[in-house]
Amino acid sequence: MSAYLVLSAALFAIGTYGVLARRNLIIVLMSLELMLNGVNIALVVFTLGHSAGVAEGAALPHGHVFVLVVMAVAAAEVAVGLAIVISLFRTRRTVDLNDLQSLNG
Amino acid sequence: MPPLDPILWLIPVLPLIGFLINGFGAGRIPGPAVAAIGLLGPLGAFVLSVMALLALAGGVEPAGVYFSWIQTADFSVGFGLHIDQLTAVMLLVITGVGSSIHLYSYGYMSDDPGIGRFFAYLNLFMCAMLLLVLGDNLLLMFVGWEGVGLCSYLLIGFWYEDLENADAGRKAFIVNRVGDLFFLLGMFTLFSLVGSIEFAALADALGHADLQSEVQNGPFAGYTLQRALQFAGICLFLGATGKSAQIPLYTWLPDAMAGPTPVSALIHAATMVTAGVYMIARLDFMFVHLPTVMAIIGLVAAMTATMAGLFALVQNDIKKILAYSTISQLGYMFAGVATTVFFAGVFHLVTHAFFKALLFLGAGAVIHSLEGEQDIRKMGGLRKDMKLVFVLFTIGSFALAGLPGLAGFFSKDEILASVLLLATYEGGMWGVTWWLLVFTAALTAFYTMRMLILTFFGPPADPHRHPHHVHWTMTTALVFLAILSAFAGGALLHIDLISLEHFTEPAWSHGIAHTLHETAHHDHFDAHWVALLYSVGAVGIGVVGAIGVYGFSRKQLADFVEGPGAQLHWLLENKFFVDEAYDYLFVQPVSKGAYKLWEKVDRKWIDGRMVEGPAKVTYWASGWLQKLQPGVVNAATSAVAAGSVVVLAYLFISGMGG
Repeated sequence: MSAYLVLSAALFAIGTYGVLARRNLIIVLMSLELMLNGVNIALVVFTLGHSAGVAEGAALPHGHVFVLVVMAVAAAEVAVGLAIVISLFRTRRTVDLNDLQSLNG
Repeated sequence: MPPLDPILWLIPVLPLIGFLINGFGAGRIPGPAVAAIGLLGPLGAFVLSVMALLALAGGVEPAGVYFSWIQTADFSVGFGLHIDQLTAVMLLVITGVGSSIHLYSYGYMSDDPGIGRFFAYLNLFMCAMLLLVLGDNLLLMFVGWEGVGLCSYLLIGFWYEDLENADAGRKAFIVNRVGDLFFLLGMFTLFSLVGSIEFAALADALGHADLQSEVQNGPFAGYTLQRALQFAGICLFLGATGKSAQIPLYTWLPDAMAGPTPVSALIHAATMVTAGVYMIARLDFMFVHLPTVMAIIGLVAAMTATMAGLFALVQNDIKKILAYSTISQLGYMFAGVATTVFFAGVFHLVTHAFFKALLFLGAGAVIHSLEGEQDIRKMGGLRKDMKLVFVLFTIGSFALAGLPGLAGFFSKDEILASVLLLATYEGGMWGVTWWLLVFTAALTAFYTMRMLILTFFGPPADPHRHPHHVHWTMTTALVFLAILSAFAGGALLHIDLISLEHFTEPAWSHGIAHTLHETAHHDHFDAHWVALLYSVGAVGIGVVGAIGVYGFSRKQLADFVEGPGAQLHWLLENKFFVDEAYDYLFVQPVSKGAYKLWEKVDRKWIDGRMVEGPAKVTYWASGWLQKLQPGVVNAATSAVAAGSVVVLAYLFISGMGG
């Protein structure tokens, strides 16, 4: 089980690095997906782990339901995010975050 | 004839309709149509006024309360109109003289692009003035009082492109406001004493009241009723001094001559300025109880009459002469009502309306035909150029001067006789009043003849001038007023059928003069004949003096003015520096104070600190806070990640502890 958790933490860490360090918006979006999937693995694994000790007939943990919700939200988020990226590219001809600093006070 | 009560409201409403049509159509309705619409309202009101007069002669007092206007627990005022003998006289003067001046105005203003606006204002004035005399309570009277003040302001500043005219309008309005404040104080006092402001209720309550009884409650608790009424009387008289241009609030009237001449004739001579006299005559039931107040009014009025007469001696602007003469004659009217022979004051009001309107309109014809020239030194010899105007103007001048046989003579004699009666039996201030008024009679004759001689006699100031033709509407109005000026005085006094004295008799309360009259009769003292002798003597001296000085010895006059009389002339020409004193005492402090308030309070504190202050703080704070916004996405996300780590670490640690 800990191997699964290591995989989950690794995915999340790689995703976080991608979001924080990369300059290309599309890669940032992909990294966000990695983070979400890292969390998804953790949720599934914990659900599995907690189900082991549950008495017969009692309610099982429903962590994996969250996973489905996260997938749906992630799909929507990517659709919106990519739409923003496309329209940004059309107006600014770039998706490089270094060039997108107009909010700088 | 059907009863008048249900249509009484039409009297003020007819001119109001004219105002609405001309006011909203100003600039779109052609001139002649404007004049026709403007004239119909006053004419209709005139017809209704005649009907009211006939109803009164038949013993019916038309009255009606048309709707409840203000209704609270202990205060209620209805929109009530009422015509008694006094109101009927005022109605006829206002609508009669008013109609003729409307007619004249068409000829006078036909070239002016603002003729629609002019007639609209004139009609609004008629409406307000009629409301003033028709109202059956003090508040409705005050509405008319304010309305005529507004129209006066609008019409003085009619040619508002000229700053001087606009200033004159403002001055009239502001000086009148001072008087209005005292009018209100007087009205409040009466309300607190009686609990009503309707004339009928007031007359009822004050007619039989015990004057020495103590007032029980309200602001006058502890004073006798007479004291409280004296306060009200003085306040109301001060209100009247504003509207009727008496000391101390007379300074606006000479400046008001900046308006078009028909306005000066209608508002600033014949009707509006007599509102104060009307008000005192209307409240006769109160003023008969206040002999001290009446003596003060008489003295102030006589002083005003003399002072204005002196100022008129040295004026060179024909309208200014007439303005000061109006102030002076208003002084006579106030002295007349102050004797409690109210009829005398109102009689002079009527005749003065005729001959002063005639004089102003005649002066207007002269000014109009000389393309705006108002300086009598630059006229001269006009009797050959404008024969008809000359004859009519002479009639008006003689009536004003009080030459025997003309209107002004009879009415002035009534006033002088009443004042003499009080001076003989009461003495005190009335003695001073009497001599001042006799002196003013001489002054009046002198300055009137001076004006007449300088304008129409002697050599023309400019031999090459070509006076314009005078429009027929103007001469029609002049002839009408000249007939009234010539004959109305004698007729209204001596023909029984139309005797003003008998007609208005039921309207008056009996005052001190009534009892004195009996005494005089008992003593075989005929004040009329004595007053007549004095008045004819004074007028004679004035006329002969003026002819002597301006007819034959102008050279000596010039020497006198430049030599020994220089200081006197300087003092009179500057009108005793009253305007300057008011300016220094009231206008400058207020205007400087207002400037300081604006500069220190408004600009520095309200604008600077309270309005701009928060804005400055916000701006300054945002200058600092915006440094937290680098606009770099990675920095923002890093901050979010770091924040989450901190929160997680805290939860982790505290979770460990728990």
